[in-house]
Amino acid sequence: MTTNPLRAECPVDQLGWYMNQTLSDHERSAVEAHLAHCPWCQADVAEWRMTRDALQRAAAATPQPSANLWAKLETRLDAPKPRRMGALRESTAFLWYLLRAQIPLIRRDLWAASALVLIIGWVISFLLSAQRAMPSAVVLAVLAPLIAALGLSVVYGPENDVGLEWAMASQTSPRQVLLCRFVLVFGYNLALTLVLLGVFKLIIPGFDVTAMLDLWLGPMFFLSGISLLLSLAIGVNASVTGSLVLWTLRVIALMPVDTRFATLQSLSSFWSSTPILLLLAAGFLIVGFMLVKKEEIFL
Amino acid sequence: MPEEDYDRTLLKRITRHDQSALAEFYARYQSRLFGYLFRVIGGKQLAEDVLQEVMLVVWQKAHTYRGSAKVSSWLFGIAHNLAMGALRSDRTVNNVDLENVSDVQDGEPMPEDNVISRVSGEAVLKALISLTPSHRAVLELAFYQEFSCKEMARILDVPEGTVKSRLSYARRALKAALLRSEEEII
Repeated sequence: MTTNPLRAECPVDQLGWYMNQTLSDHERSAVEAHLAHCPWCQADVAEWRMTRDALQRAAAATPQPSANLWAKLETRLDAPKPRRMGALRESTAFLWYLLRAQIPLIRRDLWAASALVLIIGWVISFLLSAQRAMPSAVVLAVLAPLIAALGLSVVYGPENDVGLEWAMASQTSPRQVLLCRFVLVFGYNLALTLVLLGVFKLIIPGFDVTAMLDLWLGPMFFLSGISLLLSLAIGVNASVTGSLVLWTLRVIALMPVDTRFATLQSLSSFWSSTPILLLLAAGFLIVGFMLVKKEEIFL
Repeated sequence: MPEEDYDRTLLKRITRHDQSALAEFYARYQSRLFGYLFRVIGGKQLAEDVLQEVMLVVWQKAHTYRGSAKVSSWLFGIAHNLAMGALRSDRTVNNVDLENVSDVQDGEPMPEDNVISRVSGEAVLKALISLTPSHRAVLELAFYQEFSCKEMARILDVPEGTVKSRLSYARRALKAALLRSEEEII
């Protein structure tokens, strides 16, 4: 790492790309204008040039592949595909590996953003319950389903994952990829919410965790299922809009009785029917997985 | 017809199981791919095995190519993933101790004294093989395959910032490896 503080103005991270000639015209002009009066960058470019030349000397010293390699390959082209792992232990190990492999492929800001919003929800819930303005944890219970749903609207699809083409060229089924991502994002939000409710239980005497579960668990599954389905079927915008509309209806159903919203508030029993919500969520997920074909075809 | 368009035409034919299209695709890319695999993996036999696997993936999965990246980016992404997988099961390569890399400063190199400028191709190859696979890969993709930072980010599936810092670090690691091999000779 350079120790020269005068190099704050230098486009240091562009010099290597200037040497491999992949900068845009605008970027290249800017670098060349800078190089005209910067001896530090001139020296850096000289070293990049030497690195490039050295690598090209290495390339010249590289052997060629065997002449009969194509013939060997031809015999394998129509061979039957290897059987997929059948042993439970190998399948479990593979799924575990796949789960871990998906983590860096999911939007990095999603984890921090979800945690931040849920923690803010917890704090607001705590303050309101301290003032006895609202039953404990209601704000958190209302926010959690929405955060999970919004997270799931951006886990899959070319607009959310530039590496999807490479993932699909692997032996892994797109459905397995989607399943892992759903488990990760939904599981993360679920675990976070449970932990935050657990904290409530610890610090607020008489806090009823079971009542809280009825308030948000079913809606979280329902909203997540429909959000993922809309994302797969239509796109991110439809998924986000749909989630927000449904969430607004949910909030209205929770409000004190208001004749202006009588019809919507009559649906409050629907939002409390955890088994029905879970069943609907399962249906949405099944349809969503069917939309993601075993092998997606684009050409 | 531009090269990129021709490559896409070949892929379309490969999706229809046109073996002659795959043969042509192989002929177009085998040298580049083998060079990349050999220099990243560090062994001819394993590189040839992985090259075959890459072509098998192309044969079986050409239909998954969406066209959002260049064909070469897509292909090298597959090659990179398979190479890393092959290396995971073959950890016999000793990599440059990263602590030594910090002793190599970016500053005012004296071109006539710079070790990079005077070593042979074979010495560079040996030094490359002593680097970590991710460092070999970025040097190879940037300076031999001549991919842009954005393309490399997609191939390696990392952010562009990571590609830039990895490339800078890789250059220093290569220099450290070359210096170390010179000291061993002396």
